Amino acid sequence: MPLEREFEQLFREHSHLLYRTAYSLLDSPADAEDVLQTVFLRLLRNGLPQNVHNNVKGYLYRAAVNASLDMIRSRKRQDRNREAQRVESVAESLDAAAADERHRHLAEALAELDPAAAQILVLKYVHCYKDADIAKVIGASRGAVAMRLLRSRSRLKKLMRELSGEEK
Amino acid sequence: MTHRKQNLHEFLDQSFAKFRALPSSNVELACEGVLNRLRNEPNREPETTVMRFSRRRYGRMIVLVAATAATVVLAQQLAMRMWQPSPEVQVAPAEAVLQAPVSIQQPAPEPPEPPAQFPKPLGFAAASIRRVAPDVMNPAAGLACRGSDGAQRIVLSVLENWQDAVTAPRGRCVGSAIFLTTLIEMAYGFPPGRVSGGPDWSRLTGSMIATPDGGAMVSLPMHVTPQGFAWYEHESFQIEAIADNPSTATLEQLRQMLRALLADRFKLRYHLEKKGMPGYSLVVAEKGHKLKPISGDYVESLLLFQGRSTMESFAHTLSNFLFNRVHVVDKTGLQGPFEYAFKYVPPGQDGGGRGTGGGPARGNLPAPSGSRPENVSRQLEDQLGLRLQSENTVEVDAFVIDSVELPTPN
Repeated sequence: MPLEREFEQLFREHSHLLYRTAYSLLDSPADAEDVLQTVFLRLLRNGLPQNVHNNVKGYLYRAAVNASLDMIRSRKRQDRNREAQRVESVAESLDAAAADERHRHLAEALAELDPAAAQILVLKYVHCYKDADIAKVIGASRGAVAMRLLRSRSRLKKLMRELSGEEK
Repeated sequence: MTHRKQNLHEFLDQSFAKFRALPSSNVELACEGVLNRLRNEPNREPETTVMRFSRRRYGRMIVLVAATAATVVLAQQLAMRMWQPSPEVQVAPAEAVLQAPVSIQQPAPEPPEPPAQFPKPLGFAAASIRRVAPDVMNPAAGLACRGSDGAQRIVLSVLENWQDAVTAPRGRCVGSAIFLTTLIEMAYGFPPGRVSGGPDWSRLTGSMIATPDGGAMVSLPMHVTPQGFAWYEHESFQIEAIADNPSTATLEQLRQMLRALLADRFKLRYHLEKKGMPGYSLVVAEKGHKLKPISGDYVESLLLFQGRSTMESFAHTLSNFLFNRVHVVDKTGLQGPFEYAFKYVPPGQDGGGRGTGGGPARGNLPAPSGSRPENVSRQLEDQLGLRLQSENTVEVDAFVIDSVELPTPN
């Protein structure tokens, strides 16, 4: 049975944004595909909530960020897996390992943030959205976005310092 | 740490730079793969997701069960070898290929090595095999395995728009609307034309169906009956399998896992034979070939229309494409991989499309047709400087199925 045309259209319209978002947070293509598949499977099963019809992009984007952050938190709990990943990273090269380590810190700090803050930061730094475009996606005013960005960066900085301290 | 001394804005910018630079083609490919998997969910239940996530929870348990099963099989083989010591016995369960060098090189009368010294058969951490539900149209038919060192795809669909959708994430084998022959080809390298024995369903290769919207053809799990076309209801499969460690499993290891899967789920037993049969040889045309040699790493393509491969592999691909899958052996004498692009236009269909496009149509499909060697040879000569030469006998290795069963449920 073919998928509904509307569903496929939604997928084609938003899948790239969602995949890039998940990939940038998880640093793993396979996990990014998992997130993309999970988000759209939920959509297939449950359909779109009535109240998001005017901002489907924002809804799907939030779902992808949240699913990715859940996965990061889950990873953090799985200490063994994390150790294995570290060993792999070190084996590749020291530079790559250091970059992976930094990205892991960043991802874990983002997962500690309020999801709305993480959503804004990813739109800003992964997708290079301007404040006005971010405002459209998250459904807030431009001024509110600027303020939230400022606060999110400040909170993120603090969290990363804490996380770095924990690792020492 | 570096980021503590760095401006946070710069740090974030740098940290995400590599993701911003991710090529669109990679994103497109990944998304198409996901869409393909979503399409293949006939009941739209998130079974795939369950399997994909449960690997983390149950992966070790599955590996333990697989290891136990493998130990039993090894013990049985040891017993068989001691009972029947001839090293020339070729009847073997599928996973025995993993141990083939051991069983040939070690004289039987010597005491067998302890089981721990045998190479441990590799198995998938989780594998889902489901039959294709009737009437599920999936033009992206094919099987892909992607290891850490490369990927291989067997594309059954000849609709060019759908060929890229046959893909798999790293450490996985993903197939849709495929046949046992497709799995055998991926696992053992024997194209369908060289597979014999076994029940009829085990040798199915799909049907080449000409679509009424411009002459494109697509290989589908359909067959012709006196009443028209019917779907193979139990003999074509969706498969998704993941290695225990997807990030490090190589392509060859994935092939070995497929062999274990065939032995375990399909109960496949086989032997190899040399067979002489009528066929064709692929030779360089008089004016010379028009192929572009390539060097360095490449992914072997099994597509006839474009890609990179050795001539031996290209000959196999041609075998699959030709009417009745006649055998083609490489006699070009060309060494190494080449890049090629070959656009086959079926005779009488080179005048443009008749319809509006949009993929294969259902309903009153015209009769299946194949690609006759003489037509293919003429176009090969024009486009690639190669041609097919008829041979009374070509000697080929054949994969003979001794016994096989429809797969056990997930």
